[in-house]
Amino acid sequence: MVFTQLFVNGLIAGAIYALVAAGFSLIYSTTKFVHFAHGATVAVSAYFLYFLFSILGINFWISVPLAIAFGAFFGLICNILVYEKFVDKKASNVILLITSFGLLILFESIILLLFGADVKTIGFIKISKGIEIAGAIITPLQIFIVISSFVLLAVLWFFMKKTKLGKAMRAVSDNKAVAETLGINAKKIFNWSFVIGSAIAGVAGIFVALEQNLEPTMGTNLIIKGFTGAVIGGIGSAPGAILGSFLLGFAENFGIWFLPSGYKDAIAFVILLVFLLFRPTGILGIKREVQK
Amino acid sequence: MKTKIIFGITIAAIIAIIFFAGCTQQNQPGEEKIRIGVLLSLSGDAAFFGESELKGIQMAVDEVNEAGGINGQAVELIVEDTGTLNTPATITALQKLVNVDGVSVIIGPTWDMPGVTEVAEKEKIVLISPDNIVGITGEKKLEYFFSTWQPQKAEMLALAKFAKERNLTQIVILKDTDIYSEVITKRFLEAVNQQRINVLGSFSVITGTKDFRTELIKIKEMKPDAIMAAFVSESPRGPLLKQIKELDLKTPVLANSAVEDQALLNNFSQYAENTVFFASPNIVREKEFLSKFEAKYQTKPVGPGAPNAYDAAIAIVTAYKSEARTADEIKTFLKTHTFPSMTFGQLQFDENGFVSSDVTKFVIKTVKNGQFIPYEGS
Repeated sequence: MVFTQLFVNGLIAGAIYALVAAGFSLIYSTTKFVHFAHGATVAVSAYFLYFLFSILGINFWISVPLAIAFGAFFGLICNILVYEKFVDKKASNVILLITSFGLLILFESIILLLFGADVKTIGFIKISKGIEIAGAIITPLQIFIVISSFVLLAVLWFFMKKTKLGKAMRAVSDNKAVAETLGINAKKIFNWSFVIGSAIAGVAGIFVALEQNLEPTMGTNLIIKGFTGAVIGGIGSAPGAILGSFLLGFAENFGIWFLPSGYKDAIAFVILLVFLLFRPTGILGIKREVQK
Repeated sequence: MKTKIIFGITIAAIIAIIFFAGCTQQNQPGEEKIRIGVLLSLSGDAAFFGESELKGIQMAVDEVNEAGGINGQAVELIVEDTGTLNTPATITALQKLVNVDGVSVIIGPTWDMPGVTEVAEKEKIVLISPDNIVGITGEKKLEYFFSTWQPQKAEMLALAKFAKERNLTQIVILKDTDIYSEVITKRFLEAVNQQRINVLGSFSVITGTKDFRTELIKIKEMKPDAIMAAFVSESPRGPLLKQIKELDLKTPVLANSAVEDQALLNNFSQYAENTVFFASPNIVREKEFLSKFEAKYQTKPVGPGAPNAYDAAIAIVTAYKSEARTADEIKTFLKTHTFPSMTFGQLQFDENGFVSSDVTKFVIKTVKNGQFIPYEGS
């Protein structure tokens, strides 16, 4: 019972981390800079859903796609109005990294200003006792989150492998200069990676809003976990980021069965440190090296 | 080059204007006001406390000013935001209030930050917090520190007595690592030992944690009669109650009185119904305070610190009215007098600057029909 419950807990945590990490990794793979404000995209989307559904009273199923679209738009605007300007000025990745931190703090502060500091809930789903499956208790919402995450991540994989745009993204990710020589507009691809990555963050934001509620700093916590998942799996590789995120979710939940609960974040950071020291390319980095 | 010179001159002119405007503002003759520093969390997790506390202080000061001020002098609040549990920012703000604004007394900070009280002691500045329960260690005697929060020992004893009466004799503690939660836990352990209640285990989570599923599975295996949840902020309590319900734990949750927070009811009342029990100070003038607060702000206070903040402001104003001006005079006055209080009726500080235990009566409360109400037995 305990093992299955811990497995389920890890699965739920991993599914949310994976959605954050997948979008983050997708953006990193094409742009090659760390977009920490991706955490703000998660929070902005979640609060936009709260605004539409809980404040304006718009139907939930209309509010959801609008919130995802808003997340995508927000990511695109961040790129066009901020990052693109710095990239045009040949700013280093360190500057872009600091800029992304600045954006994260700025938008969290704006959320705080507009919505206040207290925790908000989206009371769409009435929480009741979970369903017992193989000794583990899981709620219908959590089942929906896990299944939706897998479906979405499978769609992302298909998109990257089979569609023209996905292939173009991979081309820019592999070698921007060569891709541009072949006629691929890298700026356009950057924009698309922000749109798609941020839309996935929007989905993550909605799931977190429904499962864990909303607070202005929610994005920071999630991007830390998403970033850790991405590094573990192989930063720049969306499948790697997903794998790393699930591993992180399991490691955290199984780890605190044996260790005091306060070590949960320490487990995540120790794993991050170990990977940065001994396997900076992440788990799927091995595959790439073999391919090369 | 010319553009750079013009840009430089413009910047210098702006700085000069701001500087002289500041000087002029401080030296306007005939408008000398009594300045009180306010050091509260107006951003971050503790902002829901800090914002309500500021409203409580502002309400008290506005009442005083409308009644003619302190011996004809108006009271002015100089407010600084400290963020949440941000000790360096709080110390910087405190030093600014003391050295730049020249205040003798500061209301704040929100929540417990060891280090801040030490600086206040060194600066010899009176610090009167609406919700700080720790001071430096909670044990060490402080000269300039005061708190209008209810006495923790008495609160935890009332909670332990309630647990004993309901036969909740096997308890598990779940807390975060904040110093406030540590002190609450310490006081709770003292109280349950006194009541011969058995503590089966204790789980500490990092402050800010909102996923308690693994801890709750462990707790479920221990089959306790109750869970004592000691948290500094409102943000983990809602998710905890929600996860307790999801995991079908039918265990009652005992909590510290900070749980009595409108934000919890706004968002999580369905999970707290008949589940959460806490010892709440019997706020003597609660109706009066709430009606004044709601009339002024058209909203209820969010955190539980607002009446305490009001009390802190009234205590200081009373000290000023008696011609106490320096920090030493105010400190001596606060230690030797009794003050009108919304929470306690009459407020008196003990030798450590905390509210004297004998003035406080506690009532056990729970959540019923979306409201915090006194528990009347099952």
